[in-house]
Amino acid sequence: MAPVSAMLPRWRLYSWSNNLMSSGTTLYLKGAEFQYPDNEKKVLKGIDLEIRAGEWIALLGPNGSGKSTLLKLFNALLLPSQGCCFIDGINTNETKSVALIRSKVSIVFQNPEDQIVASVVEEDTAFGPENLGLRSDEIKIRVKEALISVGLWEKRKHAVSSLSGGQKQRLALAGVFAIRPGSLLLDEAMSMLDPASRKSFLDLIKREHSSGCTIVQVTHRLDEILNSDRTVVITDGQISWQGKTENFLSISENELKDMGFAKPPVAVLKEELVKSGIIPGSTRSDIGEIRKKLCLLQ
Amino acid sequence: MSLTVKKLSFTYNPGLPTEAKALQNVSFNAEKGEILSIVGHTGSGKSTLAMHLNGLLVPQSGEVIVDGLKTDSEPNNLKKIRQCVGLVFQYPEQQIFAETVRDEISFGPYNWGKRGEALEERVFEAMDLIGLDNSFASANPFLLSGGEKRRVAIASVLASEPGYLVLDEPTAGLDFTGVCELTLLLRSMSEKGICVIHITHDLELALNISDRILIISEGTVTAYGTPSEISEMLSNINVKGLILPDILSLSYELKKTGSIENLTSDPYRLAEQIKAAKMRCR
Ligand SMILES: Nc1ncnc2c1ncn2[C@@H]1O[C@H](COP(=O)(O)OP(=O)(O)O)[C@@H](O)[C@H]1O
Ligand SMILES: Nc1ncnc2c1ncn2[C@@H]1O[C@H](COP(=O)(O)OP(=O)(O)O)[C@@H](O)[C@H]1O
Ligand SMILES: [Mg+2]
Ligand SMILES: [Mg+2]
Repeated sequence: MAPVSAMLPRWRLYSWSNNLMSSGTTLYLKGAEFQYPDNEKKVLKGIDLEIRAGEWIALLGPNGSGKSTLLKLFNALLLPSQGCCFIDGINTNETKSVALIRSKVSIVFQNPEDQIVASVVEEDTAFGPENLGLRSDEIKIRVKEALISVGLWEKRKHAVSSLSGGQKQRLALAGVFAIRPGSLLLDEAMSMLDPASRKSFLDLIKREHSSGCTIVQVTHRLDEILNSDRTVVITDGQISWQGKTENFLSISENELKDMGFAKPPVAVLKEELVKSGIIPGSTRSDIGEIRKKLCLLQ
Repeated sequence: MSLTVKKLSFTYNPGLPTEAKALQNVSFNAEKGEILSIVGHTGSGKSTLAMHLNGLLVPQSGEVIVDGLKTDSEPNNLKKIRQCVGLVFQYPEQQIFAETVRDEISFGPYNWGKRGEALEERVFEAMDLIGLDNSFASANPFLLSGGEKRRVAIASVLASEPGYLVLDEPTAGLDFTGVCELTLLLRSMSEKGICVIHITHDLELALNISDRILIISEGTVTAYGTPSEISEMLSNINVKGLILPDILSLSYELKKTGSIENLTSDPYRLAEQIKAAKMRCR
């Protein structure tokens, strides 16, 4: 079967655009369905989802439930077979707007190999801004800033092939940072990272979010979603749960397990302490906050 | 019968500008029937160590001894060692090459000389161990889900009946259900008497599933012991690149201030102790 990439233009094809986003993008799916051409199964079955500018969404679901497919609708890599998808009000099926949409919506793919385009680290990071038609001094600044922020500046002259899986994931993130998109879609983008790099990667996402960027984060690990505003669970191509992340995290451990998720230990601790009245129910599932509340008590 | 690593050191590209010291003076011992987790940050040398355990790399100094045989001795021994120590690479599904699951899993035992019914038996036993039912035998491995592919890759190593199973970050990229299945599997392997050497960067997971833990940082061993010994040790040393599980680090603080007695990485046990300490809101 033909890979998606053969059916569609390379995702990192930007044309010149002066409409660079510094604030968040709105993403909107209305009755969206999707079916791959050579696959009888409907992968997405009527998704209604509105993501506000600057919102941080955690998108969860078992393997094969349609998460990656959904993300690809948002940057017009795929078009809904039924229903529609709007980015800041622009319908993704308007071919003339594809470049604009891609400058607003950037995906960090599940497999970093899918988006690395150059053989040298700094050239790869420069690819996005070059395609935006930026001046070369601006490109240099962005590349430097992006590589420093992901901790790869020292490796800027290295061959991409010499990087480890985790380093490639960070390079993929740098490439997206350099574009400064209004929304960042992360498809299991931390799966190859060790806990220390995971933590600094998350800090970078928090930074982007606090500067107004919309975040859609696909992951299997609930300890990565503690900072998100809303959680959306996809099961078999449909939204099976959605609501505030804090509410999602307070679902009981067993119930979450049945849904296929491990409740983060911090959320378990919070709940146990809230249950016995030691800390207030308004405490977030965050170890720093729990620590603070406990210290206050001593 | 055990696997022993003694004062093992290894440097990539020695003498060249790209020289990288990957392992320095690493020693430990792994026994049949246990799960030993090797924990370390990216680049700490875990994969390099894994490749030494079945003789894919031979020590530049020090030694690796499997059931009494040294990996840097005669080729005949090396062959025995390769059969005895099964190595599951990181992202093993990327190395799947055969067109059916059966062919994929047959590859190892075929190489070790199994034919006909004996071969068939090995394949189905391995599939059974890993929880793939017989209907998968004729499936195309490339069309399976991520978790299923990973299981096929592990089954193809198990089919050679190794006494030692080394898995390099086997849970990476799996969803929660996949991780649970895999950890149960590792436990059942060890109960069958296999020595499971589980490589991970996830300390929390290691604390939960291992009999013993070896922590390496920048190529050297920084801690080695049972999960509770490791919890104690980590309160005194700072290992580069290692993030302590949140619950464990909070339990250190509370223990230091005398609020609780026991270190733990289990949220329920920590909550119990905090309740017992009567830290109540007024
Ligand atoms: N290029 C493709 N061609 C045909 N089917 C595909 C393709 N990509 C994914 N699928 C199928 O679509 C479903 C959803 O896949 P995906 O969106 O990748 O799920 P997830 O990201 O949640 O694991 C799966 O059943 C998968 O097999
Ligand atoms: N083939 C190689 N050539 C040169 N250096 C290597 C090679 N493989 C690994 N290294 C280096 O050896 C060190 C240990 O790497 P590795 O064993 O892969 O660590 P880990 O598996 O813990 O991430 C790292 O500094 C890495 O850059
Ligand atoms: Mg996916
Ligand atoms: Mg490795």
